[in-house]
Amino acid sequence: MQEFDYLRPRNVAELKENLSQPGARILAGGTDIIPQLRRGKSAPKILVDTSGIRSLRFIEDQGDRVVIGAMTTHQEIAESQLVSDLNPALRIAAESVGSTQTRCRGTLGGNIANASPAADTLPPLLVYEASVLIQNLSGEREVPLESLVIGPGQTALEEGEFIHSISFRPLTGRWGSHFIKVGKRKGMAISVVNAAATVVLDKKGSVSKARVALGAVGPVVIRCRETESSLCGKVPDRKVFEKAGEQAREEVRPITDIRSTEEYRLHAAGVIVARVLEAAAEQARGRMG
Amino acid sequence: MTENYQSIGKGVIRKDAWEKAVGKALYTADLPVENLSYGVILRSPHHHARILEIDTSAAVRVPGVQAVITAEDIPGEKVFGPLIQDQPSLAWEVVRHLGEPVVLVIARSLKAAEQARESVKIRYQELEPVFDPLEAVQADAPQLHPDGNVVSEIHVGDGDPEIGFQEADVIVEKTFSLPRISPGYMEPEASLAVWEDDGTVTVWVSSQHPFTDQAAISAALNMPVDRVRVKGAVIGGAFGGKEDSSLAILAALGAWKIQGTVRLVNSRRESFLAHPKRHPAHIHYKLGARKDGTITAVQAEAYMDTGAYASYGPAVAMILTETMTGSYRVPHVRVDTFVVYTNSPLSGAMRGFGSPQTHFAVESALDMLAEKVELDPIQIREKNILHPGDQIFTKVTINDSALALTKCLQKGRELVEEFRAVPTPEGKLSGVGIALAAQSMGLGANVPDDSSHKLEWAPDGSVLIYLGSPDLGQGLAAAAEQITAESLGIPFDQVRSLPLDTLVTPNGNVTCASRMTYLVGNALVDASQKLIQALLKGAGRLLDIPADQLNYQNGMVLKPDGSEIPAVEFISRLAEDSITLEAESTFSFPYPEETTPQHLPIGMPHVLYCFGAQVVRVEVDPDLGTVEVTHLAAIHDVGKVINRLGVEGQIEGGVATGLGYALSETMLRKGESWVDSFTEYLLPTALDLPENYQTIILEVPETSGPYGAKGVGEIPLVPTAPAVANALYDAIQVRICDLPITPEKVLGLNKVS
Ligand SMILES: Cc1cc2nc3c(=O)[nH]c(=O)nc-3n(C[C@H](O)[C@H](O)[C@H](O)COP(=O)(O)OP(=O)(O)OC[C@H]3O[C@@H](n4cnc5c(N)ncnc54)[C@H](O)[C@@H]3O)c2cc1C
Repeated sequence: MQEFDYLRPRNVAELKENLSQPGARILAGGTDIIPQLRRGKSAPKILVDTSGIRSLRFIEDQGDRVVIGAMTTHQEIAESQLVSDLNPALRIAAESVGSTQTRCRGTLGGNIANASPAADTLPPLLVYEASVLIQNLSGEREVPLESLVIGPGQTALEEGEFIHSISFRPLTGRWGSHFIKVGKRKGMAISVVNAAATVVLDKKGSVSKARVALGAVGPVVIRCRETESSLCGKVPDRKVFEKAGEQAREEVRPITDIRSTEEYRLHAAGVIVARVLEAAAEQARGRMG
Repeated sequence: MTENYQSIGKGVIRKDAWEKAVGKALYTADLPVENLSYGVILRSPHHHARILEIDTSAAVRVPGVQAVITAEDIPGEKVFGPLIQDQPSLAWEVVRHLGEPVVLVIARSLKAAEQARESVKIRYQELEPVFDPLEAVQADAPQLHPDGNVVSEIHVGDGDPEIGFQEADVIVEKTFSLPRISPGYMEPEASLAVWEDDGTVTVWVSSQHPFTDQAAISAALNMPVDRVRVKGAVIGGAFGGKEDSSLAILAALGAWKIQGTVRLVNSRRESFLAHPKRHPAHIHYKLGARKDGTITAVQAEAYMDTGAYASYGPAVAMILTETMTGSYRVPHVRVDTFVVYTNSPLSGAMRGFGSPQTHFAVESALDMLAEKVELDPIQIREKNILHPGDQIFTKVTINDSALALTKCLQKGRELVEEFRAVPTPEGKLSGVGIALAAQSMGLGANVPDDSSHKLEWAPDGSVLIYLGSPDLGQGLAAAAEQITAESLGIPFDQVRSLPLDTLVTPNGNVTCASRMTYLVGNALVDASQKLIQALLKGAGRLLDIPADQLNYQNGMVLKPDGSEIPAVEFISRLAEDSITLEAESTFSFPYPEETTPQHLPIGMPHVLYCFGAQVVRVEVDPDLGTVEVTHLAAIHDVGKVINRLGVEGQIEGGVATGLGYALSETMLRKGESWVDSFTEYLLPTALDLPENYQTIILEVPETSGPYGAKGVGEIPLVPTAPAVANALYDAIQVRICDLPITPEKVLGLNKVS
């Protein structure tokens, strides 16, 4: 492991200062970065430990948006009634991350900034069209999550910038959301493919809006826009969702690696898109308009 | 024999449980020492390469570096190995697998050692590697060793398979492929060596056989065995992977070179590349039977990948071969087994020792046969199982404990019915499968298999066991303590096992082969009798009564007049006269004439077997190809339970290992490297174990065992994978012949398009 300096800011102001130094990187829960340091895959000059910053650890209903602080852990998200009520897909995803130990340390900000194609919280956030509040010493900007993650392990964050919080607008009307992950085992499983969907139904029970995101089937987690639009106006049934699954296969480019094959990923992606949509629609149907 | 035992059969909490649970146990890597130097190993970055030049000049100049050691510096034997001495402690001229040790660096700090390691310059000329044993046996394959790539071969048979297959109405023929499996123990290999002022060396090891380490160190350092003292620290699992010496030799070499104290600890990655793993194998299996299901013939050909060095390969091949007819009567048999060198990391001993590979073939083939002759999986097995007195193709006669097979099947039938009654959720398909298992005990006839242990009665009345074979974490010490307590009629709490130390502990032989409770137990039953005799002799002298008129019972010496005196009174008096009450006993694994073949068709036949069966229910997601084991019952005969918690723990752990073999574990080649971390080497987690699990223990007494006990260390993982494969077939009629069973294979989507 390369040597580095270690800083532990007590608040966001100090964090901004610390991060403005060249070669500074955040250490949040450390569940991604520590293994990377050990393997020599990352060599920051300064590690800035954000675990002491309480103000980055919150889940809030701000009326029109739900806001989650970057330092909120997967365990906190999984246990949050607010998330469970307003983004069930995210709750399921957070609950599926690693093991209890991983969930109690790993953070939402870390999951996003690490930009793994298999990151489990990204699909549920993408289908809610989440945005990310980014700050640095000189100010802040808000960007759609979709434009932040640009490649495997790559984000559009600039030196000195950090994720402050993530927010999304709750769905209204007759809506549902769900998340499904296919792993190689039940515990501590990294996704071979994962999917999230939201479905909103109109008064007649047809789809007025659908969102689908797939992970581990390309360099970044992606929204399947053609699948989404093909669902508009449809009366949801299994056939429709199976066709949507087939459509989604057209929109992704999985690869063969140590975890799975291209063929299997493509196949499984279609299966879980159909299932995740069906579960979301089922939820929507059960909700009063 | 009355069953009124005080210790035997109880579930005792091991004496090391608490300190392990709270993290206080001291493993080799934790032992506190002064003036410690750090050893790190520069390992081969290539699978196969010629070493053209090793330049250590920059490395020796790194501040804090004390020694940079290559093969040239080894004063004695430069190679080691349990059966064939073919493995260099440090490679010279050529490296034969990724991660092979080439240079050992010793420094005052870990940082300096690592920095120096980076400064060593080695020029390699890469050679073509070969990874598959079927390719390695071809004439034009790269040759790893002077005598070719076939390390050993076994050709054994009985009857005439040609006749057997003529008699057959149906034939099943398949090739089964088994993956490379890591023992995956929690504690990576470690060793600590201290060079003493008197010119001796003391070495702590995490090893299944410290006495082999002692011999290997003595050979490498070219110094007499009695100047090498080896001690066992707490061991964090072994499962066969710690039968070979490795770090112990290098730590001792480092300590000798700097005349100081050196510790070496493998990282997880180094551990994956260095320790022996379960042999990957291809088994071509052909089974013939009559219409009624009676098996007439088996013909099998097996190719095992032993990696770059032999390790225990030739011995593993024996059990792999001997179990080729599983738990069944087969009149005509032919088996050809080849152990092959490849440039893969080492394969060697691992829990099951060849039998898991074979059982996957045998038990899968049996279900395929059952389908063809329209019998159910229980019927086909009932028809063919071994019975007491049957002779198998190695001419070994199976003893009375084979009764257990019939009992296992009876219980198995009930469980199959019970599991079939479980409703299947919508969208899933379910299936039930069974597999039997036979696992040999002991090292095999003609292999020295003596085990010595010593008891000492301390002046305070407690009894110390000088346990000659290490407890690897499986609970050997507790079993030894229970057997000693029972034999002496004293409480379990009064008996304590001591850590192994070659200076004072007798040689108990290597901890392996499902035989420790049996060997150690028998030796301690005998040592207890000797200890009582020694007590009575001492008491007789003090009382001035002939010893043969005294009796002993439950910690009391009984005088002829019927009065009782606590034994501890004599022991403490004798201690004042500097007389220590101790007794040593050696037990040799028996090879009775009635069951052991006189003319050996195979080098070292195993004659005593453990038996078991497992019943599995799976739910399959037919669209995703995922397989979930929802129910599992493990039925195992142990002869007699010594520590109930220990037996249950062994069976549960074995089942978990078996499930990993079935569904997720494989150490694949990954680009230029191998899977070398627990991120990609997928052990089952707690969540992956079946929600409905039961252990069913049978006790068919083994008359030669202590209190009727035999072994259970290996067999629990043997039937699991074929039982899962059979259940999967039952559910979706897909037969998987190469492990692990992955969703990709279930759906036929495992090929790269
Ligand atoms: C055993 C194990 C199992 C796992 N299983 C899963 C799984 O099932 N699903 C899954 O998705 N992931 C899994 N992971 C990965 C990991 O736990 C998650 O990605 C986690 O959310 C990372 O968060 P962290 O706080 O630990 O990040 P860290 O490791 O601390 O940081 C990760 C990266 O993000 C950067 N970073 C962190 N916070 C910020 C911020 N606020 N602003 C800018 N950059 C930041 C860091 O500099 C670093 O580059 C697993 C990891 C382990 C070790």
